[in-house]
Amino acid sequence: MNHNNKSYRNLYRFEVRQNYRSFIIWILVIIGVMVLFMSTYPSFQSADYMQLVNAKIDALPKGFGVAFGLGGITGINFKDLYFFYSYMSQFYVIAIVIYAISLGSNIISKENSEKHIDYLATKPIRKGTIIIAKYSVLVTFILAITIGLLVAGCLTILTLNTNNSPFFYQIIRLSVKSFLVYLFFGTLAFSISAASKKTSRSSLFVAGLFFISYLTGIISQIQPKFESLKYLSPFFMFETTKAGQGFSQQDYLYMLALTLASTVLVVIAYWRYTTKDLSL
Amino acid sequence: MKAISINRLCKNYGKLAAVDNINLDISYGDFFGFIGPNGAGKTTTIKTMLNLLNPYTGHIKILGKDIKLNQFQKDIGYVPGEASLYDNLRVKEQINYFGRFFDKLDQDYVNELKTIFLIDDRKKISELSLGNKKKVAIVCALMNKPKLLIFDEVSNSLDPMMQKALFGELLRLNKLGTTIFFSSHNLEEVQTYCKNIAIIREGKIIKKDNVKKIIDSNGIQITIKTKQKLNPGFLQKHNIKHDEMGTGAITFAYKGDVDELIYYLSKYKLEYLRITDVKLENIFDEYYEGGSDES
Repeated sequence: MNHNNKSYRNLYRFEVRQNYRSFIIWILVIIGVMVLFMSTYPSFQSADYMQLVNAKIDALPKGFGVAFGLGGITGINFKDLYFFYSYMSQFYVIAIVIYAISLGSNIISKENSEKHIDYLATKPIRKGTIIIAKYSVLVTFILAITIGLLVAGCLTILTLNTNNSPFFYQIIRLSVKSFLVYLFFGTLAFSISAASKKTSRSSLFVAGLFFISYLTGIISQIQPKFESLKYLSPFFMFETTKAGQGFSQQDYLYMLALTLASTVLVVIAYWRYTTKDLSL
Repeated sequence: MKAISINRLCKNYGKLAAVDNINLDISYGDFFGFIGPNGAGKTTTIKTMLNLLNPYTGHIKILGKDIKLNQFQKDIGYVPGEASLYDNLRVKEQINYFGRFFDKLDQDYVNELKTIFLIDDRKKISELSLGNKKKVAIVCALMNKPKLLIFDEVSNSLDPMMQKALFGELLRLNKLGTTIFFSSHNLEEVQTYCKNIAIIREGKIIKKDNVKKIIDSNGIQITIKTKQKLNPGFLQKHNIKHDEMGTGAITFAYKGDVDELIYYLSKYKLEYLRITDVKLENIFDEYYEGGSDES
């Protein structure tokens, strides 16, 4: 076996073992919240209750509705199981973005802050292999949490889907878009950690960027004159409640942009990591 | 070909020159001591040698290969000053993890090392004392039977028994041809084990020589105790700076004629007289304080 492959596999397996516990906690908590939320779906089936909810939503200031993911949605219908699921999913999307940022940053910065890098980088492994192995672990966990949520979502909807309305392709489309958002923010945190000299604050920095982008998205929805700001917000370029609908040309462009941005960030991370001072 | 070849190495932190135009060649099979005060540039030099830091200027070859090629790691062992291992692992997992980076590992030798350093590999790293963590780090550095060992102030936290075990193993490996590059503050162990040394101060190598030659060229160490006050004329003539010890004795290095010294001392009633080799720490003081500067 090629020595680089061997080193890659060793580091990859090690990092998976180092990070799987926090992954399990995150995915269980998010699935738990999702199931809990979805379990309230049957109570929305009563026409009276739905009327009450709609009246309350109509009474909300527009901005407030936008901030909670109801902006620009016509025909809010919590009786629609998929709509109900996709509305709820915006909250777990935020949670998973935070997880991706935390993992993307820590997988690099922990090695430096705890000075393990002095040991690791003097073993027969190239710096390039270190960064590729660590990024592979990040992608693996983001993919795993996306698939985990997809499976859990499908099972939950199947359990509640009494009228056999189609949902599978919708939830797949939602997962694909969400995955690209998680990957983008995870990669951003990863790249900043890999590129900066002092890596310890990169997760806070990226979390800050994420919330700024979230707010930018809200502002773009509230104020029509700021609509173009949505292009600065990867999170708000799609709304989860619309994400399940068929992919429009804008969606394809959006997904392509996120993929390209993530790729550029990885290339920058690779270049900086292999040329910077690893130890301080 | 040299085991380590450093050519015009400079490393800056901002405007501060941590390493300033260092040239250093270390032969295969050497037991080399690298000494200097805190902040002199020892660790920066070592980390740059290991490609953990990028040189500002200069070239470094380890075992004949440019460090930028990243091909030397399989043949070296490195123990950093800080024993920063993975706290959540057990000792066995830690050793196995690092071991898997090597193509061939003599498991019998790894087990032998665990025995030599009295390592309980079932314990968690977080449960170990600093000294025990250092022992694990030493095993991880020796496990691949490296051609070059680089130690950065390793023996500090080891108890005397483990220091003895460490140096016993290092001497054995050195006899088999392993080159040892050893940074330390403990000048007694440097004097005891190292063949050659370099002294670094303010990022510059100010002295590089054979340990025995340095010791021999600095004469002998005299420790005496008398009831009378010594005549300063003799001491001034030989430019002797002496230290007073807690017992009332004084100690100084003497490079002059031995007969003249004995004649001088014969005028006094001596309570105590001890003649030894000059200690490296006495010579080192001179360089630490900037009294001598030669490359």
